Amino acid sequence: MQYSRVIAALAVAPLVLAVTACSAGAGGDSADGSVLTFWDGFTQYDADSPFGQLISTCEDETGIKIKRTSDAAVTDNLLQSASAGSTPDLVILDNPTVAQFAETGLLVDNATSGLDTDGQRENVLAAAQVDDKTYGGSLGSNTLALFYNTEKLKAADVAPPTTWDELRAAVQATTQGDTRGIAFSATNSEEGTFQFLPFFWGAGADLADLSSPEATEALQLWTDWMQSGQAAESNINSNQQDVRDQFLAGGAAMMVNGTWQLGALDDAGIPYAVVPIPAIDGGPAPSPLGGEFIEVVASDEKTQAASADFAQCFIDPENARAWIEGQNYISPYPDEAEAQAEANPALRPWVDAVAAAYGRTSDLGSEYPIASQAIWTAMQESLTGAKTPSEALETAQKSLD
Amino acid sequence: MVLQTEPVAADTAVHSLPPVHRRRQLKLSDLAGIAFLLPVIAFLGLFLVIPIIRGIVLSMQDWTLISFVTGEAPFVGLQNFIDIVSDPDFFPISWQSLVFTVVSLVFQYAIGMGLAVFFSRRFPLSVVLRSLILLPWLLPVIVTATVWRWMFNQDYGVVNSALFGGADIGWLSNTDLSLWAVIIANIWLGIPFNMVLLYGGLQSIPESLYEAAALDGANGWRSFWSITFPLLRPVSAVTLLLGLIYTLKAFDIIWVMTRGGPVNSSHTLSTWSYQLSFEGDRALGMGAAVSQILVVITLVFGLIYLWALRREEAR
Repeated sequence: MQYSRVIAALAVAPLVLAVTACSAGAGGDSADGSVLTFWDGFTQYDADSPFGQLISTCEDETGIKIKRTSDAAVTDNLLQSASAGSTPDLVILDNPTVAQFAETGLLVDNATSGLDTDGQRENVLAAAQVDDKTYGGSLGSNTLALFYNTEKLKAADVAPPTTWDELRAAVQATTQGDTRGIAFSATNSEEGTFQFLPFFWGAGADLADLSSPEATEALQLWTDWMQSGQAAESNINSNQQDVRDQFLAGGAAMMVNGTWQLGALDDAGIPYAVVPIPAIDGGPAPSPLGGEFIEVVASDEKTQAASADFAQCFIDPENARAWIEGQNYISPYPDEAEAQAEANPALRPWVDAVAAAYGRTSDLGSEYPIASQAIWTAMQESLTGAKTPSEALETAQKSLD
Repeated sequence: MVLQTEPVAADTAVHSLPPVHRRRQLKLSDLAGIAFLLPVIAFLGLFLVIPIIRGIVLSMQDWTLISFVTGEAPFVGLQNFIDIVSDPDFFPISWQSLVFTVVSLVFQYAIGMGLAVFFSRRFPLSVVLRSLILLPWLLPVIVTATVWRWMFNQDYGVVNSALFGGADIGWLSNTDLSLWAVIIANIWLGIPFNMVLLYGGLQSIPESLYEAAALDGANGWRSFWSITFPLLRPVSAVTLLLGLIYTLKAFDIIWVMTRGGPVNSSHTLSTWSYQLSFEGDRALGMGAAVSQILVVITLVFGLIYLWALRREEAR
């Protein structure tokens, strides 16, 4: 009598575990769209942050209740949720991942959901376009530019470069003692390709042909800098924070970096200014676009419509203003971006750079990550002297064909 | 407590035997046995058997990003393994794994043994120092790896400035050196583990053996090779086997220091598996195939260990 109860309890225990484990999945979906699940990767932003306030503003405006889950591994989670069939209703995705997810059929295009992105820059939206369909709306953009140490450039008597010839001359002139002329991240990851792209595109190369003469010229430029010591060999292993630290410590007169370093640079009080990275013959080079998109995830029609409503409120220029400012982003709406530059002249080079920026997935779509890996591999082969720039890029192109 | 006196073994065998006990009681005790086994079986099944089988299946599938959504990945048999082995990077990376593992193990073990013998003697502050040596073990690997990354920095790293007179050595950016840089960091990381296990083994060797040897005129070197080393053999075997597994699967130290680069020069099978699975086009099947190769290697060494242990016991 006594132990039969124990047996029953023991026999049932694993079952109970299994059941609770299953029911712990993403719940709370109500079919009428009055409550939406919302995933993002901004773990640093709580409800009081501009991001959190943007959510609550839109909750008030649309009358939709948001259940927010914030996790840095949002792309991995989205994949896993897809295989488990428990996706969120709205998700914030980094722009180069949008094309991949769109192709899997996980996201809903704007024509279907009803989200209206009219007025957002074409070059920004292109990052979220697959087969002439646009997926989601931009939350603001950032990109890469050329930071320079104003004192070091003045000491070498050079002006901020506007063409590659001027850039070469400036890098050479500012390489003195422990100071390298330029610093960039050439690491074996997406980050390395990201940093190389302004030069790749600035030379006139195209991701569809990695071994073109233009691409070779861009890689030759970086390789020359490194082999002559005008860029540090350690940059092969530097991420963008390392590059910033090198610049902060006076180890580089110029660096390739993005708006996300502005806070640290201002805190350090180093004398610096920013210009767009020059294209080979002048003008701003197309830099790879950074920034996130809000995406409507495939679901039933009613939920999708509610999600689109909420997303519409989220990308409204006025609602997004505080969030964009806090994030050092540039608004996807040209008028709004112009207003940003007028209010804060330091943002001018960034507004210009974003206007010229280019989505990494605009040409190749979901094939981009493979091309990116081929590029960073070729880059490292060339920078370490294992191969010449043209050999390295030809191998890279062959690996894709 | 009542249950323990009952036979809890396999129920079918019990049923086929002539009923010795009363029927009712037999059934109950069988049930009890199953009930007691259930949590263990459920645990092992959920967390061990299913993942292993899933891993093997995955290594035979062409898994792409789309597969996450549709749940469908075409079965390709051994194609992933063929692709991996015919990849031009496979043999260099396998060789690097071997060098990484063997060099790490030899130095971790030798230095760990030296320190264990050293600390088995009592001297002032020996306990404090011994605890300090454990530090590398207590630090999260990501911290260790980041610090080593800084120390090996070509321009401002302490290794170049303090040990090599400010020479310009690209520890992490030179394809000939990056593997050695991660090996050095990994050796440092593994010394405390070896020392602790070997120190424990040393404690179990009776002092009287050393006294007898000393009376017979053996010097320190002789008594180490004739007493310490042979008597430590079982502990050494466990230490080396566990060390082998830890080293084969070492991932974070390499990933944080070099990400396997530059140009794959410091990749091992485990970092390569990660890169294949979770970067670029997320070829999970290919990554799983590399992992299966690692599993087989580990299994082979595990079996060699068991075989050696059995032979030892038989003697």
